[in-house]
Amino acid sequence: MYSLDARKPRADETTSAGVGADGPDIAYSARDVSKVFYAPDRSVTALDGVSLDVEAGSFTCIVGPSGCGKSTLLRILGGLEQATIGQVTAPERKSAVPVSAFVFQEHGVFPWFTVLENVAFGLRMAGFSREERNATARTWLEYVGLSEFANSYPHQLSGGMKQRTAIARAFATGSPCLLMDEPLGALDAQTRRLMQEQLIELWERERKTVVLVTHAIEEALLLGDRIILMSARPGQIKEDIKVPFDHPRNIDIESTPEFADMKHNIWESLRDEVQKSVVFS
Amino acid sequence: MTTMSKPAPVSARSDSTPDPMAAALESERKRTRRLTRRYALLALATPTVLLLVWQALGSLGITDTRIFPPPSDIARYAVDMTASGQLPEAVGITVARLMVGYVAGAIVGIAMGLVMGVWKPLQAAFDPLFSALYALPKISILPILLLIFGFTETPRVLLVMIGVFFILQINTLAGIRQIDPRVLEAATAYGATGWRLFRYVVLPAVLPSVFTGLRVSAGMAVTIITSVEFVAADNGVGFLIWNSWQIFQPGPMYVGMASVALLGAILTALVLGLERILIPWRSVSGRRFTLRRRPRPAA
Ligand SMILES: Nc1ncnc2c1ncn2[C@@H]1O[C@H](COP(=O)(O)OP(=O)(O)O)[C@@H](O)[C@H]1O
Ligand SMILES: [Mg+2]
Repeated sequence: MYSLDARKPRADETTSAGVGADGPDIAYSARDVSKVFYAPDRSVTALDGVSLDVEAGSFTCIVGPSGCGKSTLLRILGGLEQATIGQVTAPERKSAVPVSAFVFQEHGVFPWFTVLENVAFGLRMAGFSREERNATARTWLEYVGLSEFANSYPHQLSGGMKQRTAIARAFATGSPCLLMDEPLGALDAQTRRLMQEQLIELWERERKTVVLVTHAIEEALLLGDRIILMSARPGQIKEDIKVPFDHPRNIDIESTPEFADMKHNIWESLRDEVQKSVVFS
Repeated sequence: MTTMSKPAPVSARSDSTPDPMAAALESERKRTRRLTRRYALLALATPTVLLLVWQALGSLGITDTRIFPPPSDIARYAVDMTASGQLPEAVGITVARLMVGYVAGAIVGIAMGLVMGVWKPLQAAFDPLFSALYALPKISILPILLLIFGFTETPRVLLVMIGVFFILQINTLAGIRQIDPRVLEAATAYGATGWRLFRYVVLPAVLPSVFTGLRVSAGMAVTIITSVEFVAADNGVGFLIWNSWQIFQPGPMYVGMASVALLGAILTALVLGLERILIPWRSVSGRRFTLRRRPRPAA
């Protein structure tokens, strides 16, 4: 269906957890990672001894109070930021396509490129020809419902449409791993709902390794196989929760008692942390 | 002009009724066109009225026509000077100096701004110096240039170039400094590094600042070349203005002034046109500012 090899799931990724004979295949691994931002007046410890293994083909959600270092952790996993101490490993790069495709919290699309050019940007940098990259980009634009706007510039789009452009770019690039930083955070409730359904569908079809940061517990439960709960700054992993809902998943799971229970428990656990982060910042 | 086809009332439901949405769109388009025409007319009306007043004041003997020759006389001078070749020659010489200085200054200024933007040591070395020199009135260094290069074309063109250089260097560097680090991060994440980061991200990101510099420096360049020709040339439009004053010929003086004004306007318009072509992603603000509480209903 698509012309790019990089976008087809690898054979060992087709099972949901990627479990091989010798245990799960690990995509990202962080060992005792700490991150300090140095500033002349005040240094900020964003992460403090975080250890995390992300299985290939899994969907992991990171939840935590704002300012706890979620974005920082994601950047470190994706190699955009260096850990101050600790080790990080990411999957080996097998082609010109970057291993991790990012969806940024905001300002991720380039104002000087059209929607199509934005979506094709990763492929362009990877050296794909114009026909190849545009064909792939168009497929993804269609998928996120932006075909009509292929030749529009970002300033002509709503916030939700920009975010869909960013998501389409991440998928179109064909990286085996997706790192998403509150990709739906800026959307209105209805659009957000729609995009959540689309994300479930996209992931179930592609089975990429996804790490998604969100501040919405429901979203994490709805999308993830696993939820990493982080403490207030300095960010540490407070809980590591397995989400029991099966795939293919449907947005209806939100109305099950199990969902409500988990949501309640996670909020109980998160409440103290949010309080801390509100009091101290 | 005020009779406008009103959209058919929505309540009328006969088959022949035009689509109300199409009608609303059509009336909005007409309104926009009418406003555009009205503003263009007003823009022309102001100078026309002023010229007419000027003309009338002269004819009525209220102003001294030896100092303020009426516009009709000035127009006649312009025609004569064009026919004799005096005006085209002066304009040609000034335009040549202006364009060489402007283009060279812009190229060097943009290049310097870009290099300083991407290479910190150069920025550290030159930024304070350039900022200090920027404030210096450029015309004040003309005597030094004349001492060095003599009464030649070099100091004239060079002064324009220097003036344009500083404006573009500063605007380009400011443009690079203003690039959103998040945009740079996104580019890096998608594999844009080195030359490609420069080509696909830095360059388009600074383009609006560069054009701000080009627009500002267009007016500045015309000012500089005119002042230079006042004192350090024996041809060109600046010389024409200055010389006409010295030999007390207000007519050619006004013709020269009008030519200089026109030059500045044309250069600015060229820059604006180029900007429209090169920056197609610039948002043209949609909503008109109005002091009226509510927008007037369409049609
Ligand atoms: N580039 C930076 N320089 C200095 N401090 C930073 C930087 N990036 C993040 N921080 C600080 O690190 C902490 C964690 O930030 P971030 O990872 O963005 O949190 P989150 O995404 O969980 O809201 C915050 O206190 C923030 O102020
Ligand atoms: Mg964040």
